[in-house]
Amino acid sequence: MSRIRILVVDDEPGQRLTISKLLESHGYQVDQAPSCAGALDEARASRPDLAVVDYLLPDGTALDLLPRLREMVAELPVVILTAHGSIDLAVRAIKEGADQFLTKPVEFPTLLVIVQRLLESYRDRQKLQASRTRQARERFDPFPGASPLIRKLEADARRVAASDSPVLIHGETGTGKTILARWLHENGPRAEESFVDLNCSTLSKEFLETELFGHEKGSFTGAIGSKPGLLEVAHRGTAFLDEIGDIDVHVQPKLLKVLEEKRYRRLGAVADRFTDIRLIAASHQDLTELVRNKAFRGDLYFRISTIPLTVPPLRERVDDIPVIARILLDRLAADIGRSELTLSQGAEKALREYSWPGNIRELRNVLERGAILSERNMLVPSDLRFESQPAHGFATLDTSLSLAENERRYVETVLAEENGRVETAARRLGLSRNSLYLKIKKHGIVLSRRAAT
Amino acid sequence: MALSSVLNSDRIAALMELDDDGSDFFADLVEMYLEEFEVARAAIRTALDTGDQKVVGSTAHRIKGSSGNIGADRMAELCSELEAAAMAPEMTNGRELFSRIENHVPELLAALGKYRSR
Repeated sequence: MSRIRILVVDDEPGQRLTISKLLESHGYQVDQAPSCAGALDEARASRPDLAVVDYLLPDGTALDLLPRLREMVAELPVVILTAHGSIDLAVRAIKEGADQFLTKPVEFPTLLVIVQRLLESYRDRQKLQASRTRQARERFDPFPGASPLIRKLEADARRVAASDSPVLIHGETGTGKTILARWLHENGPRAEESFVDLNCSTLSKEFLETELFGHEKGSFTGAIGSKPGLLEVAHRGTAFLDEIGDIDVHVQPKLLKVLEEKRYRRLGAVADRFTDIRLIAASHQDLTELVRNKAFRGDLYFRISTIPLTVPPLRERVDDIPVIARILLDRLAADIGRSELTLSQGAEKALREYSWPGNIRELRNVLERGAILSERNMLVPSDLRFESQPAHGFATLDTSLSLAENERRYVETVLAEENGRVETAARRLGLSRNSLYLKIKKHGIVLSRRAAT
Repeated sequence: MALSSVLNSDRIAALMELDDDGSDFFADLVEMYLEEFEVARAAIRTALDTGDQKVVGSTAHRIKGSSGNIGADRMAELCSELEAAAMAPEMTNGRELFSRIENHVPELLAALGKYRSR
């Protein structure tokens, strides 16, 4: 990760060098400029984390420069130095947004303490802004269960967390890729910085571009002000791009530039800006296939796939399902004000036998719906409404139900699987067509077909 | 009013600590200061001859800052007096104040020389 960058602006070389040397000796990376114009060029190119600016510059004052710097780096902390130690000027400077106003020659310990405090508060503000850009979500263990697949994922993730290289997470929808990305951030070298996430599949090319890179005022109809992009907000932190395979091919080179040169350009801007992010990308698609089909750039794929991680689907770790269900039910119970929520043996069996195309997200939905609609604290198979058919035929046999109810559900399931075709359903059930019609009538089953037979 | 000391030893000690990385930062800084000072002296002299108060004031301000930066407190004070005089609607004692600056130069160079030879 790059060091904290401070921009020092003073036209007097001796003073500029002294402050730069002082800051460098304390581990900061310093960029220098002798004028307002030079400061704007430097800020655009290097994206400082803080600026120390002499009040009187050859082409303007620090108060002229301050708003223009903040157009480039929102909320940039600015310390103004002056040899005119008047109270009026100090009051004016603070009123106009300077964070600190110091008289020259500045005491070294004073400047260092102020710089450190301002950087801490700036980082807190950045983190707050980053948290506002994502949906509030609960923390969740990314490695629930004990199956070999999830244990391997945890071991792999622990090995790569400390790295600063891009990570590519592959996994079906609902497997918890975002949770894993957040875990990697929180256990990596940028944990104290912002985590920003964006799902690329839901946005049009234009919207995705402004979300990622930001835009300048007037860059398109409706751009009434300038706005920083998520890659700007994520500076020094982590950007998580979910469904990266859906990024438009015309946007892909811009993302590659961010990874290779740490540079990007806001929509409508004429100059590059600097950003230093760790990228975590995820996709449910096979990106190599997309590369073969020229829907995804090979150079970008190779850049992001340095460290690949695969989140296994739920159906491949059936033994983890009861563990995950219990974690989810504990959370649900707290959310909906129940003392506890548990599963009957039959319900647990049904969960294990279902194919879970929507993975953990679907499991949570099924449990949430069941918990809300059921008045009991123990969920039984009839409380579980799956979004598609069970994996192995009639999976929700529940001994707590009557024989008639189980028969009704069995017949209904087979009919649904046969798309309402009575003849094939009857053959599977070992009944004649007439017998099946009688059962349909007896249980009041409504036949529905997607196509006539 | 008591005059400031020629050099501020605390400031110089702080600057010399920046040499800890093995660089000659302090020596380079003094070198740079003296070069700038010579240019500024010439500029003030010319500005006094042509009656350009604005240049006298801005140059004195600049030298006041760089003098304070290297710990040349008395020089910074003398420059501050000249800057203040130049801010008045009509500067009356510019030459006198400038000659005080000129007269202080040998003392300052001698004091800086002691540090530079360490």
